[in-house]
Amino acid sequence: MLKFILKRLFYMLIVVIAISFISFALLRLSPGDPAMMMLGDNATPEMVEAMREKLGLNQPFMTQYFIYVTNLLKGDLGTSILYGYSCKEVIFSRLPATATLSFISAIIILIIAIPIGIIAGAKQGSFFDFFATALVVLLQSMSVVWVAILLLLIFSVKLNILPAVGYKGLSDPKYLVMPVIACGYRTMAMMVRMGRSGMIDVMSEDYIKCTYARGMSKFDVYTKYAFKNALIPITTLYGLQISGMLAGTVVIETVYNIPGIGSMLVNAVGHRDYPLVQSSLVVTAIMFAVITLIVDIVNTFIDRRMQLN
Amino acid sequence: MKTSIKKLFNVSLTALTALSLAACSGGGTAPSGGGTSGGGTSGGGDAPKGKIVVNVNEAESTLTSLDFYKTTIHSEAQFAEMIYDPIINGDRDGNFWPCLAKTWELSDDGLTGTLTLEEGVKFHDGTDCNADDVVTTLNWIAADINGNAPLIASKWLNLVGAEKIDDYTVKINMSYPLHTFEQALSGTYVFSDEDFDKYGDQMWAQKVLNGTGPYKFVDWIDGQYTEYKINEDYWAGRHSNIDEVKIWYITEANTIVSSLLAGDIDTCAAINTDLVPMLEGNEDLTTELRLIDNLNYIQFKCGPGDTFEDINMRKAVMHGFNCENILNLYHGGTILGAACTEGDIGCVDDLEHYKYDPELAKQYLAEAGYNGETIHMYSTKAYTNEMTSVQGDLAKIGMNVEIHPVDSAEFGSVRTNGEYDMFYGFNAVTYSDLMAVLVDRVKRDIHSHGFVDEEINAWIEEADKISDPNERAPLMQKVYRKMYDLYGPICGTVQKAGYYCTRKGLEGITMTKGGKFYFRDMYVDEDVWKK
Repeated sequence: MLKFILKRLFYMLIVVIAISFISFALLRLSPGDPAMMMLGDNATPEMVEAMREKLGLNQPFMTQYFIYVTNLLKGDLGTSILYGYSCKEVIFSRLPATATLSFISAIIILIIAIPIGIIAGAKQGSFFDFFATALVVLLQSMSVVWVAILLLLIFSVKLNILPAVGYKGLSDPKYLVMPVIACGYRTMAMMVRMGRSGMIDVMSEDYIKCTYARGMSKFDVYTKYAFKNALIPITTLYGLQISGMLAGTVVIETVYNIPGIGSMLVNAVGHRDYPLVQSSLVVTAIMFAVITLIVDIVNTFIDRRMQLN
Repeated sequence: MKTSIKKLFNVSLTALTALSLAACSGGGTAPSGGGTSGGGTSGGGDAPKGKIVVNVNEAESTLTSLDFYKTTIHSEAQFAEMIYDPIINGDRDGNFWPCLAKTWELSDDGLTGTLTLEEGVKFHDGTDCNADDVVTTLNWIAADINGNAPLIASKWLNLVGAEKIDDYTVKINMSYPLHTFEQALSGTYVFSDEDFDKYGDQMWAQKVLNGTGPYKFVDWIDGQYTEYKINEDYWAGRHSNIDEVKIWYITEANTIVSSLLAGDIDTCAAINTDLVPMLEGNEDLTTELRLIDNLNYIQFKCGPGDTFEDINMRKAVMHGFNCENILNLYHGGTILGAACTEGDIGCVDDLEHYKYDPELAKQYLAEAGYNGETIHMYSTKAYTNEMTSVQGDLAKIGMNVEIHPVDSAEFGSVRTNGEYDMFYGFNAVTYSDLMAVLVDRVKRDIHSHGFVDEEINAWIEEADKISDPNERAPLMQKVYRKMYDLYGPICGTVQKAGYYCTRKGLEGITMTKGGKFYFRDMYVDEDVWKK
């Protein structure tokens, strides 16, 4: 297990370096100049040049990258041009809001979506299955922006029971209600669908028929054989969805004015804050890789046939 | 099998615990000023009894730094105004009045300024504000104007430094005369020399926000709001009856309107056209239509060898599109004659916009020998409607215009590098003075139009040295007239109108011509304010 984890961590390092190079190159290839963005429209060429020098942007591309990656390996993510202080500080001040939103959504999805999906799959063709499938289609057809604004109009404007904007973490959960719903409903629908189809697939396998032939009860078949095998695609997808949410739920953060990493990234890209964009991408890549690693480990516990290699 | 299920259960339990713990850490960013937010019955509805709490919003982007001198973003200037006092006050419409300086004089040669400071001014920490502080602030700006103070750099281009004459008199030395003297004074926010000695220019990053202004800094939640409380000991007497203010940084149009309706915020600028009906008829809100956008203009790249070097091409464009069509997309507005807005220093009022005449435009196009080549037109994404309207009209006269809505950063680089044929520009009009536009965009050609007219440049150069608006106006008028006659390089198009909205009873908000809010002087009419 340890060997497997170390090997994956090494791959992670390669991925991080690759992402750092790609983001570094793409940002510098994209039009726009951070110095000009900082100084505004009426800046003189001398002012822009002085600012470029101050920010180290007038050095050769490879020199800039070498300095960046050396610092990165030392754990120094650089200084944000826009904020004027360490990128690490900026990112870690924004990450908790995104993490709170993502993890609460993830927990609710886990509690609600997976049981619905599994039951719907086990009771294929039943009223419950029909209801679950219809709900999935409905939820997946609604755009996130539309739902987020609709929730605002219903709960804040019409009913006036929830705040339209703001975020106070877990100290005041009413600020999280609408964002969590808007953040999680599509993933929830996807997980229900995945749970249902996973269960249906497993139920048609020969070994399930064998278990019935051996005289096992339906309950035992479902809990001891079918459910466990249906879980593998679900956990994989679940991990990917959490990673996606952690990378920043830009729309949700913008609509509900949540100080998360997504809205920060959009702002940083708009201002061509090279260090902050690069660092955010590296941090999200690391989170993505870590979650994928956890999912792979969890899958080996679910199915021993999966080798850790 | 049992062992596997047990392991799975354990892993799931561990994962859930980890998720929950991670989620709890989110509370770390919870606003420390919880419960003080104002107004509504929901989100901001926990206003302390007996206190007047106002939640305002007017944000083009979120506040990114407490080091307000470092950027040219509106949110930062708005923030500085609350906590710090400028050397002199201004309404951003060309009127100035005393603040820290009770008098200010500029020598005849425009090289020396003399300030007489108010006595008895105190910083929030109770220390005196005097000449030492003003001198420290000005010398810090002068030491590295581009690096230290982009916020005010373009106004203090000629600043050499400042000297203390006595405790309440300061002499400012300038290297050459420049028209911006009063504007620069009104944008220079004075900080404490003691704080500067102690923290250097890291004081803002360390949240040492010790101004002399009417509000004290309470908190900044990055991505959400800044919070202030009234400075009870303000040197000029309590500035407002408002006790606490939160300036929110909400940028999503639907959210702004929803928050306003829900009572979470109390102001809203430049409401999207389609959202106005939601606010109409609301008895708690005042919705007003007013000119709210900046000077809109078209700039041609018209240097030697460029498509628009030929004046007939420029004439074809300016007679070939209908400004009414642009205004119809919004709430109307004003069609501009010259490249300036009404009431600006030196703006020529007797010029009408080029007549929309497609036949005449076709004639000019033929005279120019236009052969259908693609004309590349740029602007920011926010001006896509305007570009689409121009493109549609010009297509009718046979001009092949390709529009490029890009983000602000790309727009900046396209203009600087001259990678356009024409662009749809806009410029904030502050102090009712477009002198900086004439200097930078016409004479210095920072946006690479390539057009040179010696006479225009000479007028601009002369006007740039004159601080008195009345003396400067005739020269600026000459520039506007000649640019109008030459159809470039800059031609005015429109100034759009828009709705802005405030809660009834909230008064005294300063609004610039471009529709930007400043909240320093706001107060509440307590008979009307029902919150």
